Amino acid sequence: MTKYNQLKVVHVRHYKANYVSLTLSYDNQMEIPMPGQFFMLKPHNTLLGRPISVHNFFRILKKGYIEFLFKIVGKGTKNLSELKRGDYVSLWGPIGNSFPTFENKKTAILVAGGRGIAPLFFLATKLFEKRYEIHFFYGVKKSEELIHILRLRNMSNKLFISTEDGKRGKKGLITDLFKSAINTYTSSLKDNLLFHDQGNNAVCYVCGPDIMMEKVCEVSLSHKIKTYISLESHIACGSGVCLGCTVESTGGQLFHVCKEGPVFDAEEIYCK
Amino acid sequence: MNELKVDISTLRLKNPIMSASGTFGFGYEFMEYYDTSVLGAIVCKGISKEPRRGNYGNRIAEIDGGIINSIGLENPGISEFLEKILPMIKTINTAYIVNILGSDLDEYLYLAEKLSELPRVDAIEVNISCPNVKAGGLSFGKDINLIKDLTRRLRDIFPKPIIIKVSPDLPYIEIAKICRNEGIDAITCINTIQSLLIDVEKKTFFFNNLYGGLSGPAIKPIALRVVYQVAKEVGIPVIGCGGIMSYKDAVEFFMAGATAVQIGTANFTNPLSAYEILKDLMSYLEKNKIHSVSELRIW
Repeated sequence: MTKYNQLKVVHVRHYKANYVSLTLSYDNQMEIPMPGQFFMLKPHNTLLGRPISVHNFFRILKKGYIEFLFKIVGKGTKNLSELKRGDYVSLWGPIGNSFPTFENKKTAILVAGGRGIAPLFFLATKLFEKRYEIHFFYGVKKSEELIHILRLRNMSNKLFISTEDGKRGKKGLITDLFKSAINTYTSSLKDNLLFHDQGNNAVCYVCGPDIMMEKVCEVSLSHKIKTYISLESHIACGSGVCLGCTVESTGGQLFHVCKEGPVFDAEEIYCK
Repeated sequence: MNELKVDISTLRLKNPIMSASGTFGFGYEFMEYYDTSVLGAIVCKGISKEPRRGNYGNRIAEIDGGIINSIGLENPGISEFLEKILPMIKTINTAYIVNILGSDLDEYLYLAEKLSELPRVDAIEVNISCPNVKAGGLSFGKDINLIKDLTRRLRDIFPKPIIIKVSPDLPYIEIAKICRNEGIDAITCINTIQSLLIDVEKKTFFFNNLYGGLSGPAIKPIALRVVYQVAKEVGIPVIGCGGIMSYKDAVEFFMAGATAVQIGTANFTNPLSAYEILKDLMSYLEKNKIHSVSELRIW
């Protein structure tokens, strides 16, 4: 198994709102990535790599391809966005754990905020293959940030969209849409799949800004839905040695995102 | 065939490339990338008597030419190190140097004594220069009388090589002289340099603990200065460390007078760095028909 590699860029796509997708030709010697895992991608103009979650992994005629989706937020991601087809990018991974899936749970609630779509889209493709019933909540600030709406609609039993500018979907925050949708489910649809057995049938996956995740988890946990979140942090090494990528649970416990995460049981992080 | 072996007093290293403490875990973490036994020595993450949880809040930031960390010496403590970690490094077939740190004299002595009888531990590196903790660290290293006491008593307790790690924030020449007189075997120059980072947007200091330690290419010229001064003026073996990102940087340190070098921040920029620097250094020596890195010294 090779963990460090230089992979060839086969496709670069620039979306609106500074989102970029980078598709690389994968090396069979490398471990197959799972949803939630990330790689360190090394820009040419920075010292450290940038942690970027896997957005998709697919095969065409047995050849593997990996796709990363990121937003340009600084000089590292800007540099990565300037890669062209045929260029090589140094990277190491896959790093960290992945979103767990369950044999006995077949209803998945996915809640993505902004660039949180990157790992959750990948997760949705896997859950779709496993024939989960998918309820996808996707919120962004500006409507032009929305990505993959058609594919999400195809995979999901229900797709909920919110935009803060109100140009598409429901105007407002995804946390509010999520809260009202869950409450409606619980109050009106007694026989809804989601809440058989007090939500034991459903699992919730959340990725987005900290405050959004905390609010979503408050709702999902209050309905006793098993919830997993994917956390972001400043990551220097991605190898578990710099100890720089700590996050703190509400109870004061420290976790290292690249070793114990990036996916955490929401109860570990938000319980006092 | 060139001779890569170097001696740190009684400790013979198969080559002069080591990992720097705090950038390489305990040595097995990088086994996913390459067999770390190829390195001349592994210097592990600093160990204290009790476990330390490290600092809250932001811990690491990249700046132009370097990184600043304020990890705060997070480590599992000596008991867990002895029980759980030491068995895991048995398969690493190279010299193993344990970095130790304390809040006071007794803690350093306690750690040295615990490690003194272990066959797997080839040497200790004593951190008296951590810039981002409140107790111990730099404040300890600045007390010359304390350093005199520490080095003398460590020498009594620990029979294998003792290395003291200094930073330019300390009176390093004076410390190196004390070390030489007390029979300390080598000095690691340099630890990270105490730094301050400000978050302009939030109008706050970036680190909860205020200060961080700067490492990476930005500190290389300073590290070279300290290596040169300590090696030349004090005449004690020096392990060079600070911003070595390529074999050329390593060669500069040997030219300045280092006996061996440590690779730190480069391990973060590319996990294969230490291995690649070793390989490239070998080719360089071969190509230039240099038989030993000691021949590189330019004074």
